[in-house]
Amino acid sequence: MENPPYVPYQAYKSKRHSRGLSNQQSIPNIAPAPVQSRPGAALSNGHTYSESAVSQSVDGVADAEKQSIAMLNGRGTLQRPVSMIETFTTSRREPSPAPQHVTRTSISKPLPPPAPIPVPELHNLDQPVSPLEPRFTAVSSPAVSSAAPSPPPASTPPSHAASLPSSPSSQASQISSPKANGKAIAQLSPIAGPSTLSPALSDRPLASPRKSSTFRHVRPPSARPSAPSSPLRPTSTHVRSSSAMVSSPLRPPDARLHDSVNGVSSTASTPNMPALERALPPIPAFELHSQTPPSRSAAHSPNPVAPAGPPPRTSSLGPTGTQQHIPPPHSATPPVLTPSTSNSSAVTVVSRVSGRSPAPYRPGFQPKGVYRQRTDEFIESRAHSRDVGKIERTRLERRLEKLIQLHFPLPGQRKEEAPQQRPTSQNRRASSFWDLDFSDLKNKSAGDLWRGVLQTQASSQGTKNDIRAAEQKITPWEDDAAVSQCPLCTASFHPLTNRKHHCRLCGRIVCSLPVKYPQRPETCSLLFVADQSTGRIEEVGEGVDYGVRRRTPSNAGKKGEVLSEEEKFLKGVRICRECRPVLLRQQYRQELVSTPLFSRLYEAFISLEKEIEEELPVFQELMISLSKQERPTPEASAARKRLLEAFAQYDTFAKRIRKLPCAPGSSQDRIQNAVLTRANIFLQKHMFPLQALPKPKKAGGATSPGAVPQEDQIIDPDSEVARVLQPLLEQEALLETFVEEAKAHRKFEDLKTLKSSLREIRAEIERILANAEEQASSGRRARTSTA
Amino acid sequence: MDVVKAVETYITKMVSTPSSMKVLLLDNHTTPIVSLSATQSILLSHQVYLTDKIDNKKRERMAHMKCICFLQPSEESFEALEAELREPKYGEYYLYFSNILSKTAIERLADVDEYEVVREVQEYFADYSPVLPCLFSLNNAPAAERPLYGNSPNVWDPKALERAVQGITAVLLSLKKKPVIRYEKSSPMAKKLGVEIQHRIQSEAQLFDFRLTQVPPLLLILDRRGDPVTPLLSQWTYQAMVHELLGVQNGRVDLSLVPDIRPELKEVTLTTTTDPFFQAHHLATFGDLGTALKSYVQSYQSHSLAHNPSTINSITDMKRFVEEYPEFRKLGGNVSKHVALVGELSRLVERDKLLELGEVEQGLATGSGADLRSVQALVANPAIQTLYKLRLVMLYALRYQKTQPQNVASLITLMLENGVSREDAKLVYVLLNIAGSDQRQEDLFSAESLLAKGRSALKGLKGVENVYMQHTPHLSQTLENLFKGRLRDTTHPFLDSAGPNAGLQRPGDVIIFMIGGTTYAEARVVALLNQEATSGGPTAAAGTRLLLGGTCIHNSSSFLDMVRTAATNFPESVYEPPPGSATNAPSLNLNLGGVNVSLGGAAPGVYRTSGEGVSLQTEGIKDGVRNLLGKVKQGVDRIAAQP
Repeated sequence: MENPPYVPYQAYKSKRHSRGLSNQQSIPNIAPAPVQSRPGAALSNGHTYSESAVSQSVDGVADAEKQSIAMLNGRGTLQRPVSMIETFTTSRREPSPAPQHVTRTSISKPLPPPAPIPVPELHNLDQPVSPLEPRFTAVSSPAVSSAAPSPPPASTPPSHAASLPSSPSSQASQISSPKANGKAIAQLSPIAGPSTLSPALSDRPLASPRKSSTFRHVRPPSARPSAPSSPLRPTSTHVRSSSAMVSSPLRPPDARLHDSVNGVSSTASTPNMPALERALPPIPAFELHSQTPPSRSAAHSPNPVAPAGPPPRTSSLGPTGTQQHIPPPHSATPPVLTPSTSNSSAVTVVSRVSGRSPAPYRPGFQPKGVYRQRTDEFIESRAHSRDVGKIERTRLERRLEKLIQLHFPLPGQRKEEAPQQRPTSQNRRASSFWDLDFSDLKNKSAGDLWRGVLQTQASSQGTKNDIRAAEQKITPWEDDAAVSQCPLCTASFHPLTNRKHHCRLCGRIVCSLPVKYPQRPETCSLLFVADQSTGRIEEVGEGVDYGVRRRTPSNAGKKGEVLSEEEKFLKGVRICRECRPVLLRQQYRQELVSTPLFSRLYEAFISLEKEIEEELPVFQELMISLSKQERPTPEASAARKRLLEAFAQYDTFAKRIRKLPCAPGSSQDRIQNAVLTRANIFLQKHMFPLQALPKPKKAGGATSPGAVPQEDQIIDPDSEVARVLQPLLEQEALLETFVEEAKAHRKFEDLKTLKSSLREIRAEIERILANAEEQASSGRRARTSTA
Repeated sequence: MDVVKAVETYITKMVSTPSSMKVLLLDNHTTPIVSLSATQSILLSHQVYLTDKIDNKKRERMAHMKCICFLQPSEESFEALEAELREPKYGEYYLYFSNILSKTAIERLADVDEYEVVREVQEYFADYSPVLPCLFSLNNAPAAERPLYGNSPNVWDPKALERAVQGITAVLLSLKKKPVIRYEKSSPMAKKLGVEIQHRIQSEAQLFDFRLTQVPPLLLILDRRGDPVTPLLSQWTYQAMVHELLGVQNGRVDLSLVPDIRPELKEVTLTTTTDPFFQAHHLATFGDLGTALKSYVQSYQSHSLAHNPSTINSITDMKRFVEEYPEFRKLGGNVSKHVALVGELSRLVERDKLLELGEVEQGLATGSGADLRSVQALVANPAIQTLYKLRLVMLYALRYQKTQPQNVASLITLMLENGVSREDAKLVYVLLNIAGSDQRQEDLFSAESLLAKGRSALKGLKGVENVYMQHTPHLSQTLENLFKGRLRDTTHPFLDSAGPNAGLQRPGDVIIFMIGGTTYAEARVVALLNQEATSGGPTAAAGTRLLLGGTCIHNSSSFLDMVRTAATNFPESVYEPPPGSATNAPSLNLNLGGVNVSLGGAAPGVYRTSGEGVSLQTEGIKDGVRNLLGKVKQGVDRIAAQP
């Protein structure tokens, strides 16, 4: 039984060991019982497990994988610290059960028959505690086999004992208390090792004094552990393993349906996981995961739905008739074991299935197809090719940055430089002689004109030269005389028809002639403008600078700060064709950094969808447990309400995304449409079943004796009304959409029907609202009178 | 061995990797594959919001999207991808290739990835169209620009060969099979393909590193020329009929030519994965289909009655209505689709007198034979389309090539008089030349007539004997032999000499590949055998799983197209009437294992009456003698094969 993979857990073992030593004498009669009963069951179960594992992998390879991924990525990392750091866990675990227990006890107290109902309640309560359970047993059992005194079980049996149903409230307290105590004893008083159990229990309150209410219930369970645990357990395991058998053949067809519940439903009934874990090696990693769901729910604990998960899980086995009988035996057996271990084991099984390649060759089995990673080769060869010319590339990139700094300074910088820049802000381009304004031209004589030209030349020459010098400092320019034709298109230069231009990045001289086939499939040089504040870089088209341009009033007013689209080229900085990739890369990087509103909205949309998807199975389990219980609990309605709100928000997100402005017919338009379609599919898939669910609940509420709903009403009249109203409101909304749809499709018969139903449903809503007001007022009166 | 599932797994895995908004870029080759195995809603649920072609230059830039490319490693796709990577439009790139990437291809792509946007490069072997779970197609439909044959009917076009090798390799990899190969001996193309595949398997040993099974899976390579009859027949099961009469392209049926069709039914999808009714009835015969459709419509009506305005009286009614409404609408759409399809089928059957035609065709294709006069009557009937006349004459020619050559000739003249063009009429001889009895190693017509049908493994499948469904594709006989360990090495040799008893071992998995295209009729045989195998009955097929594939999936017109385009590359002599053999004397024929029962006795002349090539006479006689020897040998083999 001793298995090498457990080595990492030696730490726990030794700790428990030392702690357990104190209890040594009290244990032996209890401890062997669980240990012995397990292996047999473990064998039988082990068998069914491998079965179901295979069938699952056959049926939904992808499913299993998805799940395991979710396990690994989603929570695994989060939870790891919890299970790893012992001291932390104790401190964390203690608070988490507490709130639960408080809320729960308040509910369960008024209930007269403690026997049937506490079962689920109990499960709930155990939930936060459960992370401990599997580990305890798993770790402890090897110790039992090797070391006679078997100290670790010492920590488990008390918890079992404590969890036996005496009454709901005691349950609550004790489940949390042994945990607290187990640690507390170890940490505070190692000497406190008493010889019998009852003293051990009795000193519990000492360790956890804040749970004063639990005090009086300490006694009864102390008697129990020795008696019921050993005789009961074998039967319980039997029942469980059989249910596992039943469930495993059921799995394949259900696998997809239960998807998220998947692993849980099949294995929920097997408390023997620890034993199984011993039988199967790959535990160390998964052990951690095994604790994830419970501790997640503990982390979620402000949200009352999550911890309530496990009870329906155990019962969710039996939507099919055969398994309906199984829960009763469960309730007879120590309930702690069932939910906690089962819960954890479920997860381990799932992760294990995907973790190893199971299946021996079977005729019906279809392996996943071969695929081959070539990424490494690709990256290697990319790195290789990128090495070539890397220095040159980085140099050009740096130059580009400097150029942008020089030509397109940030607004703040510009102001400082404004005085000397403004007069010539439009004259930067070295090649533009003719910088005269039209208006000027008109009222000047020829002589004036010429002088003007000279003057502007002269005046602009200063700053122009400055800039030129700056540019040349960034990039050494090629000598004009050295070049007689464009190196890219081999067109020879001419002082008037084909002027020489310097690429500001590499310094080469190129032409600026337009595209001409076949010599010049694209222009040899291009202009770009940049905006440092937004980081946008834009290529601008070649314009002909006649030196004469319309002076639109707006433009004049802003002093050329905002250039109209067609004038952008005036500010453009010229680079050659071969330096364009440098520019594009920069551009690309900038775009990656900025996230448009669309993607931010979309992220919110997707995360909301994920939340809903996580919440849904929990809620559905709640509903199943409710339908048996015939009485809706507040957390169910609260969960439902929350879900509906989430749906509504989801819907608005989808619609907002759709309404984002974009060019009709563009890819963006298509994407936004597709997102909306996805949202609709999601809503159709998940919101309709949600509406079907309240039915049994409502029916249950109606058929049950009058006392219960009344009580319920006193607790929260609004929720009752809301619950009745909610489906109607949703249906109203739905019907409205259907009406629109029918209109769009011109299905007039449907339309008529739909409209009449809509009218009816609205009338019904009115009626209920009116009723509710009456009731509410009467309720208030009633309450005031009782008060 | 479910190819649909295999490809689906690939696609799902592909689109699920980066969890954010995605664009899916495909090329011409991968588009049909993806569209067959992934629905729009599946893609949407994996956040793929845009699907486009990689060579579409007009895509807009969207830096916030990530891009998945699923491409064939072909020159065009590489070029398009290089252009894309040089100026990336999306944030990250995940490249998946449908087949093995060469080292140089990777370097080439790495060179252009200046922005370092590529995150993944992987090979996913979804390189074929999964039409049914047990049927795949390589989409190499016969066309002038993509020929299958080289310059003779025995030679591959090099591109087509490479494509076939790639496709089959992908099938094997996606199913994790490392098979032994057998091929049809009479077909040099089958052998060539087998050798190439074997070579590919050996050179990519790293990929084909699977756990060995006791009996290795079998890849059986057959040639369409071994059975030219099946694609020429009228079909009478749902899927085959739709393909024959309307044409199924990648699971889509174009109904735009149907008179008075509603706009939403202009093009319908018809795949078993998305359509439960089709899944249940795609193998049903036309008669059964009618009954099934009727009950389908009735169930819909009862549903819609429940949705009648008058029945919605209470809130609960309404609630039920609201809940069931989407499902109801879906059902309605499906019902109207199938009603439209079946309506159109029966209209075409009526219009083209397919029932009369079918009866004669079946007679020709099976042992019972057919009266020359009934064939003549149909050919002379102006109500029948020329395509069907041509088909009928071809069938007649294949059937009575040796025994009644003069009747074939007279039928051709009759056909020419009745509106069939000369070009088309030539195809009869082309077919005889490339797939006539001299080219086939097994006889297609006799076995069923002489050897009792009781011997057939498929007798259980036939169900009620249907006059229009008498013919079973030759494939079923081949498979039956295979199951019984009677598929001889002489007709279907192993590629490398397997162990002495290799032929007797019954493989658990058989992949059949039909060079020159397979048909839905054959797919039906395979599907039924698979059903039988899984149902666990003590049948010959028990425990064997079959998968059928072909370079394409034929209906009669596409088959004729293939023959037509192929013939243009063949030597001129292919259009000439094949040399009738002087050896078809009844006595000899009977010696050949009772293969041919000669009905009319030998024709008086050596040549057909219409034959012009008298100069070929001597050669023809020589051929005939050679042929005779071959036949004798075969006959002996076959007799030896009898238990």
